[in-house]
Amino acid sequence: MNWFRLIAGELSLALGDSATRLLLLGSVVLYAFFYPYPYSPEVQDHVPVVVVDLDHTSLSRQLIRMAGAGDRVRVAARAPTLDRAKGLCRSGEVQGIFLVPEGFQGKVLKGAKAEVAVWSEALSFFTYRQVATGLLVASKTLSAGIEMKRLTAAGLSEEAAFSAMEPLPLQTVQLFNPAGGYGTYVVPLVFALILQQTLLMGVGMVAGARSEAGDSSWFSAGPGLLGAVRAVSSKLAAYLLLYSIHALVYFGVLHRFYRFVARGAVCEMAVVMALFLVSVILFALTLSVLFPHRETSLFVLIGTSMPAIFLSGISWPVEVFPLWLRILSYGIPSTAGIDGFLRVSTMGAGLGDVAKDVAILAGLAVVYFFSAVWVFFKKSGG
Amino acid sequence: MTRVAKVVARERDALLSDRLFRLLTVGFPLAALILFTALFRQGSPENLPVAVCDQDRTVLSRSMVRMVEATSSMAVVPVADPEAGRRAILSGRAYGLLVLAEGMEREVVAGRAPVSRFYINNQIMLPAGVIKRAMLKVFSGASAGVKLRVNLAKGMPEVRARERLDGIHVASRVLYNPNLDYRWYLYAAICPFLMKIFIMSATVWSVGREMKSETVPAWLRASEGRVHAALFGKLAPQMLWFTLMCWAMLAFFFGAMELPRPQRVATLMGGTVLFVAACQAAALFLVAFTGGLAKAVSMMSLYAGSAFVFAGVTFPAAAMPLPARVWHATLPLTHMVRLINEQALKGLAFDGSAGTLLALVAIGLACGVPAWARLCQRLSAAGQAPGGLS
Repeated sequence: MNWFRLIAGELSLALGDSATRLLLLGSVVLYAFFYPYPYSPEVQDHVPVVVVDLDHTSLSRQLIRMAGAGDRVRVAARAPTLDRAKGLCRSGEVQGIFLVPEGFQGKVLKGAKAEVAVWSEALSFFTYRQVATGLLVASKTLSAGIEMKRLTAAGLSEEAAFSAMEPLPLQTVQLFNPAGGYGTYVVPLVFALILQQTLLMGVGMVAGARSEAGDSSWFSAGPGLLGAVRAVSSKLAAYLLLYSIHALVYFGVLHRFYRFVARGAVCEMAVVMALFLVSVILFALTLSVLFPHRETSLFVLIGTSMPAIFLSGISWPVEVFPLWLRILSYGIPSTAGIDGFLRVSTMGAGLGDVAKDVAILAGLAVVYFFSAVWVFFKKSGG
Repeated sequence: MTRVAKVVARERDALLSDRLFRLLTVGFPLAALILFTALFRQGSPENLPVAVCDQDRTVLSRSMVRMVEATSSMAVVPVADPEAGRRAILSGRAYGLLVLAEGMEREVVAGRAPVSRFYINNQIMLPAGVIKRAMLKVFSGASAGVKLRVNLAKGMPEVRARERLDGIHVASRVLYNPNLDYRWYLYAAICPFLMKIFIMSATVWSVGREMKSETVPAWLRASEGRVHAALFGKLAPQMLWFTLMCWAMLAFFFGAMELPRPQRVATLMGGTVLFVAACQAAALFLVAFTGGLAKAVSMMSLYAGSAFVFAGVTFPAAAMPLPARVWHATLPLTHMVRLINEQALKGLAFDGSAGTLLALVAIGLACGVPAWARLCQRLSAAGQAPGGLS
């Protein structure tokens, strides 16, 4: 059969069946909106905290007002004692405690060491960061204002006072995701993963359905090794065509819809995405012989999304991985694919910067091409 | 009882003969636990590479570099210029770039405050947070050192000079996870998530394949035509097995992962039984009310696969839009993670977790009762089909 007819036949087979169509088209569309939805607010603001003001002075009230004035926390309750405040934390009503001890104003006015205390709940590190930073910033702002006044009163210029307060200042610059938005960080990663997982499951489902029906012709497009090569290459072209459209919609259209910053050059993004998709499809074709029933791939692969995310090194740093796991992880296309593509698309890296990822993806494409041809050849009775 | 025993014996045979069933109940859960245990061998990431461009090359700048290197969180990658540092960030060889500007020491001695810049790759959020905290600590420590020396040089008594270091000192304490241990935070949520997937998968597969391969009559023959006994005999051994696995997982949390062990473990152990039952009930619901195995497993992959996103572990549920919070409340994982937090990290008594346990019961009943009734109907119908019960 003509090679182009094989491609059309594969697309018609994959999209003609309601279950595989649901997976290769429906779920890709649904997940594009379903997964990013909870992250749509990007950050958590106005986290409820409880205040314990044991000082009851104008300065303590000013400090508490400053704490509640920012975006990060809001004063949701006041408690007379620390124990009562901790009770509110335990019951989940608030996620932090801000305590101003008795004698606070007096110590500040005398120039003695004054202290406030902050308890931040760390059940969620995202919440923890908001509470700890929000209350720290309020205290440090008040402290800086008081120290400024003291130093300028002692005869220092404003600039000299600033220098005396913090002789070695550090300015942190948050690159690529300056507001620390969770959606901005995680959604591009999830999009790339959706492409991989639906491909692996979808191709597995098509192959499983054929195996279940006792039809081994899906694995061959002619006699011998050449037939296996034709089958693999035509299926590769078919799924590459379909998923190029998905990738274009995800990273060309939806990225703008979600207002994520796109820094990558189109050509470089296309090169890395194409290599990623090719290696995933060939990996999927290699695995496809393992699935005897149409549903098997879903059962086998549903639990692999979380490991794939972590092995990509975007959620958990690769420096922590044991060496054997780091090496093994490169066998999964998403490891180099997600890292390489996100660096190009969201950070503006060039192909030279992600040369290692590109080389790994190219290597995987070659290895999985030969493995797919081999298993197809064997499966079709070679 | 013998009817149930016969169904249980049939399930044992299925386990021995069905490779996928063996993988879902034994192989995959164990492999997943081993994988994530290997990934989380450190409670907090250490030696994260940070590019340092020392343009000052003085005693002070070199001592700053040594201080950065001395932290457990960061490892210094020296770079010649900021452009090399930028490339190190883009290529993933570093998570951040610290630039110590030329003339830094001179400026400090002259009483001016030279600003050092720390560029962080905030698109990789977890290490970005770790190195930011660590670097701010290094610089506040160094600043305090300079201030102390200046004040002492002015003849200020040491006690007074130390008091002046901080202005208003903020004593910052962390509740429930004092060392910000990622194992207590992420690992302790990922493992139940994976268990949920395998519990639901095993349930969907074991019930759904009977319908798909039209073996319901044989299944009902084992239970002598009693559908309740057939369902109970199929689900009870799985429930027992997965409960034991979850208990072993909890024991591992409290042992190797150093999670604080609750004084009374009964609430957590009982809650685990409810969690397993709720997962099974949700899976049963999908099998009972969807047309076939393929649809049931597709729906299951949406419900169970998305659970981690909606459970509010990495992004808090309180910040999610209302419909997402409603979805969050329907997930057994949400309540299991909360139960672990309440019992292990917060150390609450039984009363404090009553709401969480009730939520698990509610999910179990809301899914389980209609699913059970519907399946009884479907099994009876399938059993009476030609070739059914004789």
